[in-house]
Amino acid sequence: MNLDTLVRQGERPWLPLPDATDLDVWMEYGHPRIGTFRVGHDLVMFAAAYDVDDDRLSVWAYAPVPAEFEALARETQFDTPADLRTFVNNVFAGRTAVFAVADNSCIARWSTRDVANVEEGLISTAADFLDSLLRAMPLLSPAARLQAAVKAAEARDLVSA
Amino acid sequence: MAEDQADEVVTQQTFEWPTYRNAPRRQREDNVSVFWGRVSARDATAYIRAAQGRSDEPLDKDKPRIRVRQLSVRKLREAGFVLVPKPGRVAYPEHYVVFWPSEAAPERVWPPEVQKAFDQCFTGEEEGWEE
Repeated sequence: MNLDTLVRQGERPWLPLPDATDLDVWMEYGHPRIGTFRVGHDLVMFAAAYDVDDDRLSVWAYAPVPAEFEALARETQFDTPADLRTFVNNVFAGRTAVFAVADNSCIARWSTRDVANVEEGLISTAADFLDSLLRAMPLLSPAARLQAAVKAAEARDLVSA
Repeated sequence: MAEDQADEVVTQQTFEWPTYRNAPRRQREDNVSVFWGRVSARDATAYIRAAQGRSDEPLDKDKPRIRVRQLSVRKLREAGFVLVPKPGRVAYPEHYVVFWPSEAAPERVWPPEVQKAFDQCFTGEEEGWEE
């Protein structure tokens, strides 16, 4: 499977190609967040790596499901959302995956990356992907850098830490 | 049985109490997500954060604004809303979506009177993170 053509600009993250079929949503909240779809005969897993409702940008990951796992992917049920997330993290760990950033739920940019073979590999690789996009952008003005630093400090609860 | 149905509720969660979403987010969604039955703020939030890609607990400073409220299933249906089970692969909490059947596709914006009707299905039962 050619991972570079797995997503297309402007498409929804949960069905990122016009000819993707068989959308199977494993978890949704407002819109699909985790699931699978098919491209030709190939089964692909997608998962939101970061999709917080009030943020315009979201980050998504995609990886082919090996044929030997397809039956498992069709049948597996999970007692809790945490169990599902753990399973998804394990599916992506150690694999080559496509990471995409979406703007208002429309795919904007993407690239292929090797996911670290650790429990939080999906999330940390998604963070690396976004970092690389930011590094490729023109340098921010001092005022914009300060604003970004304040946002980061807020997110990490700097004041009450 | 009729009494059981009359008492049925769905739970809606918010990160921004005292505000709850009373319409889909324009251009992103065509429904409002809820959970079947009475679900605690912790369990509802754990589901949503897992959907968002986050496995950690909310920060302490954010917890006071995390709450859940119950909506009457009977009132929702009487007002014309449609509830559809969308549990996916997760057993609990059981995810449902609330649709407003409309010809206003594709944006499916809920007009103000529909948003008000949705809020009016609130049973008065509400619960916070620590309750």
